[in-house]
Amino acid sequence: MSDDQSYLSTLDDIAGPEGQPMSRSERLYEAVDSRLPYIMIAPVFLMVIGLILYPAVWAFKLSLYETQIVNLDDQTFVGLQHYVDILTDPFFYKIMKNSAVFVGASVIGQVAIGTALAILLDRSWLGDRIARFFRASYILPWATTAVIVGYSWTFMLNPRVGLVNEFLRFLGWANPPAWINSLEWAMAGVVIMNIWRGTPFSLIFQTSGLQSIQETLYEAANVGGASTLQTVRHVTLPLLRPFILMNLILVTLFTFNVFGMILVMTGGGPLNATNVLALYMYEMAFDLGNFGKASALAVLLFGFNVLTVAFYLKAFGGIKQAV
Amino acid sequence: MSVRDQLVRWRYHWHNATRFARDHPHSALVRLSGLGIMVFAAIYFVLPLYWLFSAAFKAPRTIDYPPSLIPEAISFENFVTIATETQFVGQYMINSVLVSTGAVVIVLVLATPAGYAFSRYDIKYKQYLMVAILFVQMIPFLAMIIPLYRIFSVVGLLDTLFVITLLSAANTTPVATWLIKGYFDTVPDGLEEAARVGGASRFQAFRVIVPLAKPALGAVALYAFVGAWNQFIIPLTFISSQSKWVFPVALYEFISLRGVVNWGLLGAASLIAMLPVLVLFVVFQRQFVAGLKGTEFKG
Repeated sequence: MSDDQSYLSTLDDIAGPEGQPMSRSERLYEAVDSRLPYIMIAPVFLMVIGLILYPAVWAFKLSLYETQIVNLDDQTFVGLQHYVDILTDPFFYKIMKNSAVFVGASVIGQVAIGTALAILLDRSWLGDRIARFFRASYILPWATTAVIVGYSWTFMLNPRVGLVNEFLRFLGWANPPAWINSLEWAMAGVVIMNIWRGTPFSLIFQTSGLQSIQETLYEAANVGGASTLQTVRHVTLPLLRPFILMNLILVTLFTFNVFGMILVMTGGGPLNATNVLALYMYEMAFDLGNFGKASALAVLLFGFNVLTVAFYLKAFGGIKQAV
Repeated sequence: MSVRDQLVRWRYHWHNATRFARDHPHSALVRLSGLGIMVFAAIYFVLPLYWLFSAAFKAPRTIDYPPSLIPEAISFENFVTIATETQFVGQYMINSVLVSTGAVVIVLVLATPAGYAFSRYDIKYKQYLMVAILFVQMIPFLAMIIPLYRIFSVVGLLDTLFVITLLSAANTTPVATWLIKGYFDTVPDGLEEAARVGGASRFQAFRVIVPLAKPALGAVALYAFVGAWNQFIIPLTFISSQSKWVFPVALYEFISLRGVVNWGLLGAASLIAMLPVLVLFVVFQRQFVAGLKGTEFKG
């Protein structure tokens, strides 16, 4: 905030009201009060450090050890052995390929759909009531827990009774895909589900971006004779660029971590066709009990997150674009 | 408004639209396709939930082939089964409500003063601190699960509702702090100035101004509630006894124990599990979007 708020932040209140000497409790109160800004932010940082940062550092340390599920204190230092094991295992590359397809398709899909819908809902050309109705229906998936998301899409994509295949048959596709039972189509089904779940976030994010665009720019485009499509192409989208970048970064980070829905829908199957890095790590830890190797996978996951952010920033030209 | 007035209005709109289409065929086409996309998207986003929930009202063993979109006869048999044979209406609901309410309280108590302090005071390294609390969200949440599991087992808090409450709150607090900070930035500081000049302490000034931030606090509370309500992996990992299941875990275990999925029962259980969030969502949808607008992740 601005610097002219010295009345709030200076430590000058040594004397009490009307200059009377203060009692001990008053002095204590004053001492606490003058440090109030730091006392106010301290709990949030305690929480972030204690429950996020410290465990993360610990995870890194754990990735260098071999642990036993029966006794977690029974650890032996193995150095980088877990990383070597993981990186020389062809299965890991299968998982990585799945993750790349899953994250790539989901991110592109949800940011594109979210941005398109945000632009369509913007500037009240439909009337407020209709726009509100549409917006409510688009945000609904965000309020749904991963378990219900997983089951409702299992139901939708059921090869025999599912609505999706019913519709495809109606369109004349005699043998529609078996979706989650099929090796080729299972990933497509999981992506469709994840886009469904993730789009509301992109929609809300881009809506806030659209509000930063000044009305005068639209007026100028209008006076200049630009059509609706030209306005979107040459005014809205360029000005939305920083928001799209930020959205891509956040959604990529989120999506790398998504696995609850996949766990519910396919459990990673059939034959690991939908097994992604996050799910692989979770199973490594809590099904196989190999906490050390799972931590190494988590560290690799963090590495990919950082690389992704760096890649986006480079592609869009620097951090200044996002912040 | 009577039916007749309504009809007159519709005819007016229709007339208007056809005239617009005649005069500007190109624009009309663009708008029509825009509307078409929006309707299609609405179907995509609403249909999966609608279909699952509508299965709940169909009589058992009528959900087969071909699937019907509208149940022929409304039956509450599935709900009766869920209510009598499981603890969905009972223990699981109590657990979910306790966890979500607790998370809301923790988030509000921590994030409100922090957001206020970030907005109003000169704090050393403010920019860095604010970016730092968002940056930690880049650390995969999965990386923390294993150490947290160790920490809580050492202090003997594993398998307690408190742990889920705390972790749900920790998930939400950073963004909540940003949202509240962003809102306080838009509140003029004249009132606190007056209070301070009148001899109030910083804390008293804070108490004067907090009620003005109600819209943002409401949005943050909703955000924290829904976030905690929908937590799945955290309770799945940290809870082992059935009496402490929350809705998502209960749903998951309910289905995976049975093997063969009974869509009617699943639909009924899902609807019960989602009902509180649906109600909140319908009632507060506008406030929620308004509270998030313009502040999310932006200083």
